[in-house]
Amino acid sequence: MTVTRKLYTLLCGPTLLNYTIPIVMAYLVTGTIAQKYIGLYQATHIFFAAPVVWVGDIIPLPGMPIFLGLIFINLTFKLVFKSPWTMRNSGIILTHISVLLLLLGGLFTALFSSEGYIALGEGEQKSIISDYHMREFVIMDEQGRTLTTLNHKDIKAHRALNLDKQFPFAIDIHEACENCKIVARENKTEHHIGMAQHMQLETAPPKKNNEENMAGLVFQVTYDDTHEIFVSLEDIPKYPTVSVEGKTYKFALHRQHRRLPFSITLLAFKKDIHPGTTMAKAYQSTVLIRDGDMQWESIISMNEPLRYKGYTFFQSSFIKTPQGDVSVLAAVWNVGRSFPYISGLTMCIGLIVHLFMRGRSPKKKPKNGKDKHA
Amino acid sequence: MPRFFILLSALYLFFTIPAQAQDQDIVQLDTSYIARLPILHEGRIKPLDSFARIQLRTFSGKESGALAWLIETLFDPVRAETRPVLKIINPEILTILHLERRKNKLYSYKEISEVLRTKQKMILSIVGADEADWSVQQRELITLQKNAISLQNLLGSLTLILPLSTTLPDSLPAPFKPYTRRTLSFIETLELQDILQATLKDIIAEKDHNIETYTPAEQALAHLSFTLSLLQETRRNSDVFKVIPTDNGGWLSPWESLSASENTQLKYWQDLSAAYYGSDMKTWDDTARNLYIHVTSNTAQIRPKALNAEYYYNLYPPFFISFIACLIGMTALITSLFRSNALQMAAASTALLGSFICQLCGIALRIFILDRPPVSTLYETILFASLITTLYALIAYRRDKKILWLWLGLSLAIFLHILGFSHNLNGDSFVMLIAVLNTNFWLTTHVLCITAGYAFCALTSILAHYTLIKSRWNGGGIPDNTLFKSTLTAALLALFFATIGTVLGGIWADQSWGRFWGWDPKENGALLIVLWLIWIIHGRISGQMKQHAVLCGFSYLSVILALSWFGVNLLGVGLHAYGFMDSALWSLGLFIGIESVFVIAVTLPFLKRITPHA
Repeated sequence: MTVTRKLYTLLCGPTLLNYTIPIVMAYLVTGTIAQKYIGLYQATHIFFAAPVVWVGDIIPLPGMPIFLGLIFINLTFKLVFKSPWTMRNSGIILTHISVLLLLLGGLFTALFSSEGYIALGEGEQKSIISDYHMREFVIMDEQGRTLTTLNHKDIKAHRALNLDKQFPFAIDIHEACENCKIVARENKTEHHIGMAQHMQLETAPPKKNNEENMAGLVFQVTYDDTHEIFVSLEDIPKYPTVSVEGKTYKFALHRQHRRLPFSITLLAFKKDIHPGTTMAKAYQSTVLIRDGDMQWESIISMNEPLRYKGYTFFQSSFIKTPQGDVSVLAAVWNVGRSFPYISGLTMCIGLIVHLFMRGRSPKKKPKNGKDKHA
Repeated sequence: MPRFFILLSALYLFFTIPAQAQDQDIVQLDTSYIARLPILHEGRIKPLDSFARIQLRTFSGKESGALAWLIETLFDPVRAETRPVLKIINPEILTILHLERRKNKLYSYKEISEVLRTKQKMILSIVGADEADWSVQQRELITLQKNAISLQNLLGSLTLILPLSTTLPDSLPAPFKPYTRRTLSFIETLELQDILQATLKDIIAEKDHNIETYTPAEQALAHLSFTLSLLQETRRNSDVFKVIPTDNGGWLSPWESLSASENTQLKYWQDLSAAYYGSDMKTWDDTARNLYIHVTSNTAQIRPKALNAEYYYNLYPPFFISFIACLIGMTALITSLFRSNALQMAAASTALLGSFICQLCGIALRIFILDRPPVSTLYETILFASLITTLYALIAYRRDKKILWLWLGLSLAIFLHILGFSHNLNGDSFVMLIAVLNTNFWLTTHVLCITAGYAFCALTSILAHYTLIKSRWNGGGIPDNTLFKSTLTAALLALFFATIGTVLGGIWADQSWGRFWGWDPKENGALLIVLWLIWIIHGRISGQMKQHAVLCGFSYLSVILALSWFGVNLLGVGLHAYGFMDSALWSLGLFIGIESVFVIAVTLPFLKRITPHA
């Protein structure tokens, strides 16, 4: 048998699937247990999303996406070249097609989806989504307009930032941490400005929930023989500021922002609590959508999202603040959204048809009570 | 049919006896109306009987005589303080608290509160530490402290209407005359308190704080004042006994109702207290009935039929009756091993049918009481899975008339009932749902589908176990083909329900959390079942797995099921927080160990036999 023939047989037959599924299950079990120790975000990246899994940072192993890809190829070859497209086999064909759709939907979601959140107090209007995980370092002008944005993950300690020539200063990073521990500064000099006079940052172990990490930077801005050292902490509203050549520059570190093509205003937030407890029974946000000249009200509640222009807004949670409750809306943009729905329906029909056909198929007489595969 | 009614009558008699058996030491009263009085507890309006059972089960691990205990706790707290109801199992806690060991492991509130008072520094240091770092002993000590506080809260619930130990003498000035020479309660002295304070101020101004110089009447006033302030300070936070509904939909405890305008119902409770202390059964009955009618007819949010249904659910616990029916059926089957006759088969099949009817009634009652689909907690998934497996075994028995289905149906039902009881040891089994679960559509579709998947996985596994054992018993030959096909059918049904359930779960997640799949442990657990079944079924179709290997795979499905159903909850991470549990690790480990040994034991001889031909 030629190599091509062997490959063809492998891709069309069930052997590949039978060896792939146990590996997928092994990743599934390992990644699930790992969530207890490293959290969902890290575990997902290491065991489920990464195409290569590193064992002890030395041995590379193919990751879950590779095996899911193999299952996809295997199933496609089987459907096209091997499956008998008969009425009796229709249930199995439909079920296999639905699995292909599901995997395809997963691929689209992995490549093109984005998710974030909007936290809105009553009366507040926003048209920006904040990312759950990614942070960015932003240089702004005096009016708060963004001049440049750098991914926080790309910023390393003890290195200079590669800035555009438009900026009349250089920035050197002293400390960059994804989760920072604040400690009192002991070596204060005249170069330390603002918060940097009192605190320095140290890298702390990442928290299990990535959302709880507090990113931070200690950086030095150099211009005209002046050195100024600043501390920038995630979502601290008071930004470090420098004035060079008559212009003012502000530095901010926050969750990565994405602009919406419309704005949302929270008109009212209502929550129902099970009486005598602190457990939420239901909560809902009444919002006003403004898109150009149009505006309309809508209600977002648990299991009842709002969909508009490819974005879906879900009632995620709420935060208690001294000023009142802040409604947190999860915002998702996902081109692969419809795949699970189509796939689920196809799979349901496929499995019912298969069980029906199996029940109708004539019973074969066993040969001396032996199973043909025994 | 007559045999069926005889069986049910026997079961009825069996269960009504323990339900009526009560502690002879506790005052016996007619509790038929008191038991059904509504109370708001943990977000749900429930009958007082349920509340009593939940409280006593939390404190002592038992619930028999719960209502009588609650009545004593409410109306005679001094006596109730000495009743041993707080359970301490861990001997190390006893050593820490310097308490002697007891056979029943029960200690009174008085004993516990005295020793806990001396350990407040230790308790504060534990509370100050991260809960994740607590040792087993520390956790149990904090639980004991919490239980003692809850019991203290309960003990003080009605103290505002109970008789005080002080009686005022006749020799007091005119304003006190209406209150002299009779027992008083806190609530009766409310109008008196300003005069009392003013009089005491005058006495102190004249005689200072030296109580020995006071006249007997003055001493009585000082004692009354001290008692009232002590009650006010310690009991006014008694908020657990919320039995007074308000016009705005809220519920208040008697102490809370003092500061609200809504305290008309306190009169009923005062009458109950008087009847309790006067042992006046007629007044007790009349007042209890009037109070029940008053509360249920004037409060829109109360469903009296649901209260009644829950009362009878407690009185005749359907799942316990079902369990006993299964045990009777199993006994009939075991006796048939020695000498078989038609009566034993009839008894076993009737018992399985009786068990199914009880389970169905139990689930129907739960739907009616909770006003929502039947499955939303781990405990309820076990109940529903048991119902499905029993139904499948009954249908299969009716179709095939094979005793095998009775064995399997009864064994699985007994196992699942025990599992269910072990998940219902503490708290209320009728829980309120968090916001994301508060949707009847998804609870009916996704949860029922996935639970049916669990049920068929259990059936597949037990069928595979039986087939393998039978094969070994017959000298390790080829497994029975009919049995193999039955196993395969159950596996296909398991795959069908698990897959549809998982996909529906994904769609629900997309509707409520914004993503179809998030690698959450519960989602991964469901996917693991689906992948395992796909792997075995495809291995069988392709011929890569022989019949014996397929059966071993289906047999080991029990471990995959246990990991997916219960194991993922032990991790305590993810969005399915409502299923978390922190015990059962060792039980799960033991189960996996036994199943692994079983699969190895049935596989090894098979491997040895095929090795020479390999």
